Amino acid sequence: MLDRFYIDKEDRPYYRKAEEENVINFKNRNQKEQFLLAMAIGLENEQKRKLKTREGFFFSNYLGLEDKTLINAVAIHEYGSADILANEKEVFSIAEQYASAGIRILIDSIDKIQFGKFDKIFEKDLVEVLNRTASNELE
Amino acid sequence: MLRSGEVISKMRIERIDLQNYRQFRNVSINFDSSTKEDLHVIVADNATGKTNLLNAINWCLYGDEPHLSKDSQQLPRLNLNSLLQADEGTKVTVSVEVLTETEGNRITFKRSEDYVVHKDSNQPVLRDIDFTITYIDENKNAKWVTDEEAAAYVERFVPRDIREFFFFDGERLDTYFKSATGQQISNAMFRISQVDTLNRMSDRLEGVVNDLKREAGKRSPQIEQLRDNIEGKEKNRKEVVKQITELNGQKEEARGKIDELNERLRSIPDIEQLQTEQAQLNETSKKKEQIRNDKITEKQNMLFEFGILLKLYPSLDKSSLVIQDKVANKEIPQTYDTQLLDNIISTHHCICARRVEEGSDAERHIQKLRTDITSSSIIARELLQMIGPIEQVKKKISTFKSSLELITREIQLYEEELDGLNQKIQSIHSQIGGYNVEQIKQWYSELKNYQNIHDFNIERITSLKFAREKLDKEITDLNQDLNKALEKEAVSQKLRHQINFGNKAYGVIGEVVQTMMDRVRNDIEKETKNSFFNLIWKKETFKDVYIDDNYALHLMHSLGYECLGSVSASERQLLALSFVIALHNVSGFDSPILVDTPVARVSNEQRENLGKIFHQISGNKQLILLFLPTEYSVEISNTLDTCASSMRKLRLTEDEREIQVEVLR
Repeated sequence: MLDRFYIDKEDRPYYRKAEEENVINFKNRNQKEQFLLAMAIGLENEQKRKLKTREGFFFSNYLGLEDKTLINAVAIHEYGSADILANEKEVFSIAEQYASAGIRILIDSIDKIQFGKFDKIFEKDLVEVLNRTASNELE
Repeated sequence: MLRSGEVISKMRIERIDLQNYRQFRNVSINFDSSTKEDLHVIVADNATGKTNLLNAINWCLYGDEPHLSKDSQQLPRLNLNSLLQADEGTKVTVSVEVLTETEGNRITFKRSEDYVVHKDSNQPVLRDIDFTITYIDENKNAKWVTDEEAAAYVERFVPRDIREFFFFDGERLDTYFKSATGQQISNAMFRISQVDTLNRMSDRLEGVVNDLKREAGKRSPQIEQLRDNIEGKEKNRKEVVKQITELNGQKEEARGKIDELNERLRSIPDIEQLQTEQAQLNETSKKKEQIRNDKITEKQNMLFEFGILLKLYPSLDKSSLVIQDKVANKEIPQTYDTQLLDNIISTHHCICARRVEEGSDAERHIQKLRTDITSSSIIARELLQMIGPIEQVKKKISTFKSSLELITREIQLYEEELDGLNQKIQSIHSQIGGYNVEQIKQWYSELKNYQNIHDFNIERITSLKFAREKLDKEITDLNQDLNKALEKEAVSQKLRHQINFGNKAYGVIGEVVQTMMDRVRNDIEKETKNSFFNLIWKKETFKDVYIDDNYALHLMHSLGYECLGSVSASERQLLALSFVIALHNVSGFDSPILVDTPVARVSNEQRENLGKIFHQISGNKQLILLFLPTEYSVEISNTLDTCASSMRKLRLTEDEREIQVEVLR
């Protein structure tokens, strides 16, 4: 197993800004969690970004079974089949590319939304996502 | 005609002549009664002689100046210009002459002091003092009395003990019944009742009876023992009575202070209590705020975690489908025997017993198969590992909505609670705002202190009254024992009768004193009530006026509660004036009333009412009112201008050392 996940060196200021703005308690989450959220936002917006200069972000042994499942799921979603799981490097790379795009989208949203309102809008979006995609299947 | 010992009734001041007395270098003020009202108005600025006119009358009659300001206390009584302009060694006289008239008779009171001026000193040297009263006797001859005899005549004009009910500062009127006036009123009643002679008689009689008992005691040790006991008990009783009087005075003083402080604090909130309440609310608010913030953080964490899961839900869903598909195709779990392939590759022997040559197509085929199986096992393992977490994530997501609603509601409740607390804190803040908090705290602390003193004194008085009753009984019993002993020891009948008579007379005098005091009190109470209800402009507001056993005056509201502390300054002044008039009527000392700054503490709206009262009073009694120009407002002017017999204005000369009197009417 690859020992770490990378971000683009240029991603670093975006993570820092997200911590400064501290939306949804961002600054008190560890780097693995921050990465997973960024990846999820990237995937939701179907945007990936290739890393130019890689910088280690967190060790892969920090991933729990649920985290690994999420990363694998992104790779399966991207590749269209489970065969991608045989190529761990590519699985990691897909996650990193979505995270790199996702963290930018997050900062872009923070900038666009009135100060102090982000959490509320984020909450509203989640409820919509829940209602739109999952509720029928889950209930 | 003036007769010795007789009370001088219905007296009025005709004129006051002042020579070299403080700022009054050479001033005469006439108080002619040109209208049917005997009302005289004098208007003057502060420090322009108003209060010194009050002092001048006091000095003339009693030889002291009770209303002297601190500035005046530093100055000699002799007018400054007279002092500066006098030649070395010259004698200069200060005199105040009060010319009075009573039922057609003229009595003149004159006090003078002769000073010798020395240029090397600012203080003139006092050489001679003289106090003379001049009057016309029954044979129409001019007579005069001086010194002690003159002082005794003054006591018949206005007794020194009760002069403050005749010549007073108007501001005092407002606080008349607020401070410790119970004792003063009691003193006034005592003076008015003229029971001092009886008291002196009682003291003398007590001495005589004790002498007789001592005489009897010489005949028997038992009688001497009883006499000694009685004397001791009577001494104790006197001490107890003295303590009761003192404590009553302290209690009344505390009551006056309590009323005064309650009046000050009437519309002011209890700052200390509010501050305590505010501190408690702040503390609660802080705790609730912390819980609310923790809940917000909890919600943020929930959004963060569910944010990841929900946004990735489509991927998880797809993976779930892939896994289901593979399970359906029996691709997972895997059934390949990788051990078998590994054996073929290492031993070069197939399971069909044929040899698998190294580098042969068969070996390449087996090796490719082995590689493919390896990959698919990795995929299968990964997929198998994903099944559990995907199910767990789905379960978690199913709780999202209810968890979110619960925590949102919790936060909302805390917000509402915090809003309520903040409103209370703000309300307290605005209640406290604008007040001198430290001053108010001080007043509340004083109030508490005086309430403690008041309550403590009541307890002490009650226990002392018990002690007095016990002593009374013991004294009665001992006197009975003494009588028996006197009979048994065959003490002379005459001596026994003398002792018995003395004891009885002593008791009777005490009862007479109390009866007279009670009668005076009842009369003053009745007259005060009559005057007050006759003069008051709000006739339905009040129900009763009474003087209690401790000589404290009470005003009862028509709704049944005591309201002296909460009525307006003008109503309180009216009550004080009513009391003064009653005291004049009952005492027979029907002398003028002179009031300095009579409406200083009365609002403009109430001045007109009080002006009308002055007008009415002056129909029966001479009234001299000394106003500040600001006091003599339109409301007062409207009521007094037309009825005043005389109006004067006092002005200072440019060097501010002399007063000139301008006659306005």
